[in-house]
Amino acid sequence: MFKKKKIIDSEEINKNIIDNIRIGISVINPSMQILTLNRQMQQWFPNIDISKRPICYEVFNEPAGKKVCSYCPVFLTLQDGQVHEAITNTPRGDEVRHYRLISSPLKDKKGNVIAAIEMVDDITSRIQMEEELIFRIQADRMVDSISSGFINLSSEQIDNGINKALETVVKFLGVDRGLIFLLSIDGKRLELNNCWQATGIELHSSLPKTIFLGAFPWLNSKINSQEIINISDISTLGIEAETEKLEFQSQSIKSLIYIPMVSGGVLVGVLRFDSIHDIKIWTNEQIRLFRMISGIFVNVLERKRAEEELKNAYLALQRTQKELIQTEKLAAIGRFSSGVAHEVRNPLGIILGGIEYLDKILPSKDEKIKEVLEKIKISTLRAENIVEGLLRFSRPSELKKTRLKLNELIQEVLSLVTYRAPLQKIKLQTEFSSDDLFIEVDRSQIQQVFFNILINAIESMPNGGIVSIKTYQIDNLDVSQTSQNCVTEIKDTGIGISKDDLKRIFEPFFTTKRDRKGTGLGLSICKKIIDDHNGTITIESEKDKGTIVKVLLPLA
Amino acid sequence: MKKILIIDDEEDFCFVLQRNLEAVGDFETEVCIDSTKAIDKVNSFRPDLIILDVMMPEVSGSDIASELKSREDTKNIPIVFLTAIITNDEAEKRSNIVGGQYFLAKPIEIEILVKAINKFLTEQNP
Repeated sequence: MFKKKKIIDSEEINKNIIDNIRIGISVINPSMQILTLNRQMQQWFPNIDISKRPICYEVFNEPAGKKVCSYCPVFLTLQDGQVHEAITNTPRGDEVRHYRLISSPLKDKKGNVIAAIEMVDDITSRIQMEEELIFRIQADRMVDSISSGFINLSSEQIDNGINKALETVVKFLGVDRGLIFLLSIDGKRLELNNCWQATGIELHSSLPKTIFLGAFPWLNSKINSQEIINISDISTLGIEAETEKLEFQSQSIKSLIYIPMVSGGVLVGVLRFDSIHDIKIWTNEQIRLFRMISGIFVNVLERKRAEEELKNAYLALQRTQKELIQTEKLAAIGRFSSGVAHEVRNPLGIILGGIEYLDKILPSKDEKIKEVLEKIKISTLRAENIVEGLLRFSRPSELKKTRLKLNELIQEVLSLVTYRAPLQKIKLQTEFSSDDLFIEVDRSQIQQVFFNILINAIESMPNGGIVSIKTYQIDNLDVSQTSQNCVTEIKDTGIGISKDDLKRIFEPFFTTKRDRKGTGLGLSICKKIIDDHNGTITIESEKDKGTIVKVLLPLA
Repeated sequence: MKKILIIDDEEDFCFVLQRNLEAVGDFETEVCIDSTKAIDKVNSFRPDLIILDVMMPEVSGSDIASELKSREDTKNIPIVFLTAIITNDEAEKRSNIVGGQYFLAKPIEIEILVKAINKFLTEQNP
């Protein structure tokens, strides 16, 4: 019979598969000696000489192992004849590679394990992809939670929200500090707006609140070209960035990354992450995340700015409206008061003249009549006082300004007050600013203001109390106008003012002292005088606790 | 005896003022309540000083004053203006003793008025 020739030799197939598969295969005997390697294994370990029967853990590891690897599946298979599996991470040069090891037994006819076949699969790229995927999912989740966290924040809460978001990002990326700098309007400075740092990291004293870009040409050009500036290791910065290198090193920073914050193509600031201890190498995936976070911050900061502008515009409108009403009111009062003055003062003149005449011609011994006349005179002068106040209030005042020291002016008023008002059970305390505070004001008008406020304070304490007067300087922090002002604070421990009354306190003719001869003009005149001096007067009060009046005047 | 002319449309005011001036000083006083006749009254009475209300119907106090100042025989008569519609501060600012005019806000206190009158009369005839 013609013996049929095998079309394909099965051994040939096996050899072909074993040599061409992208899995490393080796056969290892119970002495852990390598008996054979397939082609993939030989490619991975070109220096292994099979003829010398090398010990597997000595040649597979770098540096050479001295005993069986703890996870070794071959060792287990050689002992129990079962299939075993392990996953290992092995450093190869600069990177770490991940392998899946499967070991299966090779038995003789009696079933004794004579060797193990170890199959090695390099799963590094799969693991990297998995890690990237996990990072991406976690990062997306974080971005979602950060951006949804901003949705319901009011503009005042946004900075706090940004700090919290920075905390989340810093922790997620394992850096030490996250900062947001905003570019000044002139584009010359970066101003620190937000900062969050891990506990244990001290805010370095030389970490600046303002970065003057002119001092850092390299950084300046990179920032202005809206590049990401990724410095994994500050010490590797070249000569062109020498200033920056020294600056960062003085802040004890090892590694940092700047991400531009851009709105509508225009640079508005930068987001920066610092690592104090470690060199940081960022993956593309992580840089994508930085960009997303930067985008979120730009959006919320823009929203904050827009909301604040809207609010300021609204407040300005409200103020203008109020001023218009006030001006209209004043004009009406002006027209009205001239009329009233004419009609009321003439009869008052007759009454006063009459009293004075009677006073002169009546026999001086008639004390009772004299007393009655005196009372009529006082009442007439009181009525005249109201008309006088009304006229003064309705007039545009002419200021006779002189430069003087605030503390001295108040001292003068205090001596007037102590002379005019009985101060039983009332203690006056002063805490004057140690510096001379010069103001340029109409002396008698400002005296009138403080006199009025002090008399109010004293009258609010019928059972005694303390009036404390404090003067100090404050700087206007508004960037658009730098001005210096002084504040005089007059605080009493009196009966206080109710919320409803407080709202109307500066209205002309509003008084809570109608029964005690109040005209309701005192504070409205005070306000007018302070307004004429470009100052402000504010009153805070709590019923039954006391009142604080603050008068702010520009320093001269 | 110095002669004082009071020109004011408020008759009762003039009456009381006249009584007061006569009571405190050695003055001869006359009253004019019709501002249209004020100039005639000055011509006939020839006062040493005039007390003149600013706001009057028909002819105002300031019109009367400028008429008097424009005439050679009356231009040196000192005038005390009385007005109800300025504050005491403003009255003080407008007063000019040397220029022959003085402002007082109504209601006036006699003492102050008499001081002003005496000051004028001594300035005029030292």
